[in-house]
Amino acid sequence: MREPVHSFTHEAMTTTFEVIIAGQEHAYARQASAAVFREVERINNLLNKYDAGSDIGQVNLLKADERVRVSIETLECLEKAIWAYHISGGLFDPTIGTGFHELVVDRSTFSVGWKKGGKGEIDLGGIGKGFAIDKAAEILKDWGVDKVVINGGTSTVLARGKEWDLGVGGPWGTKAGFTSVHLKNQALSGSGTEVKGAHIINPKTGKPATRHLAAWAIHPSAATADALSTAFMMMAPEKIKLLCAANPGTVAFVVAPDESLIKIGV
Amino acid sequence: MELNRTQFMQTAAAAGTLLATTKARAVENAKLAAKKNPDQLNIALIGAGAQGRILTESCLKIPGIRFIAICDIWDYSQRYSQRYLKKYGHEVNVYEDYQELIATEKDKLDAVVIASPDWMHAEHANACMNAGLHVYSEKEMSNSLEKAASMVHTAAATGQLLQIGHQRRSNPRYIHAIEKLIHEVGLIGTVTNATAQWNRAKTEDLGWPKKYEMGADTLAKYGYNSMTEFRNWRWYKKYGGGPIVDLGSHQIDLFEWIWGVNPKSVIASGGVDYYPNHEWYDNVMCIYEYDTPDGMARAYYETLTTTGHRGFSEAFRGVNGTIEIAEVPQRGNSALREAHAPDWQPYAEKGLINSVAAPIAKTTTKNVAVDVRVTAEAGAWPLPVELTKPAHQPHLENFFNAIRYGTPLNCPGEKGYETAVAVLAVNRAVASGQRIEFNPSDFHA
Repeated sequence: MREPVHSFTHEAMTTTFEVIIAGQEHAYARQASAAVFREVERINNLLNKYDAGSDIGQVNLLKADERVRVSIETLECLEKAIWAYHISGGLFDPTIGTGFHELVVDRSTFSVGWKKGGKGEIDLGGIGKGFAIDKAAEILKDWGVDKVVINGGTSTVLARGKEWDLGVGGPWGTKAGFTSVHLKNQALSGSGTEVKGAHIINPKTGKPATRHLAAWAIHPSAATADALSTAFMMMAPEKIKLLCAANPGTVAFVVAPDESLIKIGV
Repeated sequence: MELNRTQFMQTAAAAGTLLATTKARAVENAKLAAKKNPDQLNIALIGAGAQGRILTESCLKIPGIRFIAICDIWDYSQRYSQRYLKKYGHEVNVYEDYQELIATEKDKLDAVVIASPDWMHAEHANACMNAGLHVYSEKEMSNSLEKAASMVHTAAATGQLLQIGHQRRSNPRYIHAIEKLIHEVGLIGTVTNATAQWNRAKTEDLGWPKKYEMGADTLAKYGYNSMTEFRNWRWYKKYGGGPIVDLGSHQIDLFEWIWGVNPKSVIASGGVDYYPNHEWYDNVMCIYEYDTPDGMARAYYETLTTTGHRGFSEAFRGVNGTIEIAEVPQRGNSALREAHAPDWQPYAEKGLINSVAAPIAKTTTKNVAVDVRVTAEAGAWPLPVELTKPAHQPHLENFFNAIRYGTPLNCPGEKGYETAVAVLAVNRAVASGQRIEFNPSDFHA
């Protein structure tokens, strides 16, 4: 018998978050989803670059050689971004080429800032939604809600607790025959040219990413999947293969310019 | 740009300049300074719920503040805060009973931050001050004026500092708008009216994780009738004051700051219109009158919890213009010039406001004697000061600077009491359907 599910939505981070919960009563699922959305708002208040009082807003206002104390969550998210930056050869770059290598993240003083040489402008749009999903999923452990899908505006989705059959939207997926995926304790994130046109800027060239038509990344962490899908849009398939091999649990689906589907790590 | 005292303190602290002056001041005020070590103030948190967490996050960004204990009656909140603080290297002792916390920790503590439900503020704050500890208490001071007054009396009797959490009073954007632009420069002329609102879309009652449900015994021991009432205490008369107090208090507090006087009367309407299981009014509208040195002024306030229309913001309306402002700048951060007002460009040149594109230009229409049109639309001149910190941080910094250096508090208990008198009267006005007249003596605890 199919288990009934309850779904709830919330506007945040300029998109619609959705929580789908199985195995709980509706009222309890609704309260738990409200706790999820509160956590998403809390993370947004730390990472929102448009708010001068947020952690990232403050970091962007700093000059070279200045530091500011930030929250532990901002440190964690930036550390993950730095990892993705290095592992992608600089193609995942939250400063879009303006100086991510100048960033200093100092755990011992809970501070973030810039080296003496210069500074960049951080936009965590390529990882923040996934990071908020990971954090929100931690809250649900307290609630005893284990079978859940958390969806950040259809670009990043985390599926927990059972095997979820999820649709993969978009014209390139359909054309390439990639329309659904089974996930359990994994996140899927997609980047492509169909939703906003070619909106990913290659930090190396300053031009829109055009290597692939679309790319998806699967990883246990939604933040990691979010960052990798952006990087995969710009990475050669051989490089993606190396990355997936070096990081067990990472899977990539890429739609090449000839509309063929390349599967890596499956 | 000339900086006022608060901005000066913040700039100095942020830039790390004038350290020598600051240190000298600390020595001068040695008696006011922290009991143990001004470089590290030891603090405790009583009430580790949603608001307590916001204050905790802000405290952790202020150098030299160390949590050594937390207290909450709910083990879920205890666990959350203890774990959160541990990530920052703050190992805290955890208490269910605040009296035990005070008895055990008072010799190590400098100050306590109180973010418990409103009805417990006075009991918690008074006990802390009586134990020789400075107190930052969330607003509203209490849902009972008698209890609120007791906090002012205790602060006076013990000499301890008591800061009330009307954090806009320490926000450099509000200080610039009110003290600089309105009071000092007179940018918008005589302020005859103010309006403010805090409206929220309908929400469900808060729930709780099943495995952390408190037992009936524990709830009863601390005075809560049920888990639902504990989680949603703001809606119940025993514990809180409803939306006019939770939301309105922050903004109604500004009216006194603008005009320098407390209201002379209030009329109000409201009711339990939408949420049948709540006790407090979900929609409230009220009008205050202020007998100011410049003449009569009126302020309209509404808090609606069934629609998010217009969100939260304040407008101070003078004869020469209006300042629209909100704690979140995207919701309000500009001065609007009346068409007849003196040129504002000189103020922009001094950096007091930012200049904007000219308002809609007057055009000439050919072959007509008179061009009849509405008053030219006011141009919006953005305010130049940003708050580059979380909203509560400057108010906490002001409190800690008061302990360390003798900096005056931006919202001492006396000021918080005045606002409590004005705000709590709205609920009485709604209940009675009567206009409430205030005597100036009503505002003295």
